[in-house]
Amino acid sequence: MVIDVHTHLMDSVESLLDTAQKFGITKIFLMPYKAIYRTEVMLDNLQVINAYKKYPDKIVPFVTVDPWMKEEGVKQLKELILLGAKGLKLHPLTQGLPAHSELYHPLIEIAEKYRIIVQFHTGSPIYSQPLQVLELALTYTKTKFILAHMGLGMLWLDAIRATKRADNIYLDTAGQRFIPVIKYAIKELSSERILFGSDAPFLSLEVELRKILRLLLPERDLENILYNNTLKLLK
Amino acid sequence: MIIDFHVEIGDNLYYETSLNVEELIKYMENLGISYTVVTPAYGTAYIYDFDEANRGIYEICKKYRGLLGVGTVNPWYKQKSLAELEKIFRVYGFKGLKLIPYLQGFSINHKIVYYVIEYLAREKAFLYIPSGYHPQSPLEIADLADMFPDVNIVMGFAGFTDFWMEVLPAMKRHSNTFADISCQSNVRALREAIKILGSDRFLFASSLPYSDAEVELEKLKLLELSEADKENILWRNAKKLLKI
Repeated sequence: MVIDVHTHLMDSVESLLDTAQKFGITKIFLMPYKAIYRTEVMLDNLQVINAYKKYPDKIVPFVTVDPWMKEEGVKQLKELILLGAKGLKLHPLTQGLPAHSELYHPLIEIAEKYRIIVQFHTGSPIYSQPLQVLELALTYTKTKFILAHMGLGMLWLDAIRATKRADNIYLDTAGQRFIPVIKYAIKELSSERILFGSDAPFLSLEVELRKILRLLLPERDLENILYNNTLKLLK
Repeated sequence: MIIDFHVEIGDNLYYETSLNVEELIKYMENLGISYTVVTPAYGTAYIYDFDEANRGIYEICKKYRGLLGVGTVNPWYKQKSLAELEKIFRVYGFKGLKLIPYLQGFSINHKIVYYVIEYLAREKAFLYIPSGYHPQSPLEIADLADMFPDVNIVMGFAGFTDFWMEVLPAMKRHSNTFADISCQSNVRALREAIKILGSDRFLFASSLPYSDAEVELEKLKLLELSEADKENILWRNAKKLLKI
């Protein structure tokens, strides 16, 4: 079993699920794509929800709303949660504000109220910095936050530090370029805070999975990263 | 044939990893890599120990035929760097120089670097820079390439993170810029860049210990290239830059 905590609906959901199946991936966290760029927000989110309705055992639906829409965004998020959304994806780089911006707070409050997971894009300064997300995680302590990409480039260390400082932060491995960074994170945090993610089809599932397998981890750590931690997170 | 255009050898304290030469040689044998470009491990080698680090690289290259050295200097130490450049190209016979601006403390297009690049121009040697965020983004590197059109400059990691988006404009405007494809996860962006620019300026690298030849070869497969393009990236382009 493998669970991929980071995919996007860019083409058809069937082609994504087919590719996933080829690599033994049984469940995916599915996020919208266009909506992240603040275009066709509701339409794109609803496509994710529809994909979930079609494949409820294989998809964990994540949605996003434009934080600049303020009350309207909050309203949209509530609607989407009622329709089945299980997670909130936020992308400070494309949404144009720092991760700890007050504009995000009402959305996190909704996520906390409805106990849905929040996944933040990280690693693109100045807006998507891990320590900015830490500010939120220390404020909204009941919400589980996933730092996508583990800080990407030189912000990998901040991602590990943020996770060390808040029990409600997890890291996803999608697109993390340096293999030793994942090892470093396991050493600092244990394998229990790290989740396999691919960012497919934006990035390549094959490459992202191979990277994890190349770590040659003890079985328990590998299982934790590939599915155990995510199963716990979903409970 | 495969030429691996970038590897760091030695202990790497910052990333808590290391690679020794025996491991590397075994790795090359297993994967059929004919030549590997070796550079010092990230750390004080790029700050003030560059003379010692370059000598270390020279020693292992002398011992193992398939290893090709690329050294470093720190532009902040001008006198020491000029003496070391002399040694790098006249004694050690290295073909290129590597700089890591965020570790060494300057913007790659700052004039503090110019005397080093002027030296490379005279030696017809190439410059390798792991690209990524400021102070070594692809467009910052391209700005240096604009100042020194006779020096071939390799943007390691092809922009590294989201800076893949600067690789294409940088390479489009400056024919003396190259990119290695290691540690750049965005295969679609690489495919698009190669489609537009051709394969003549892209290089294969494992960038051990950061990435891995198997991961990078998988990426190469996903680029869906013609045999000729694949050969260009795997060794032909590197052979020209390394003059071997």
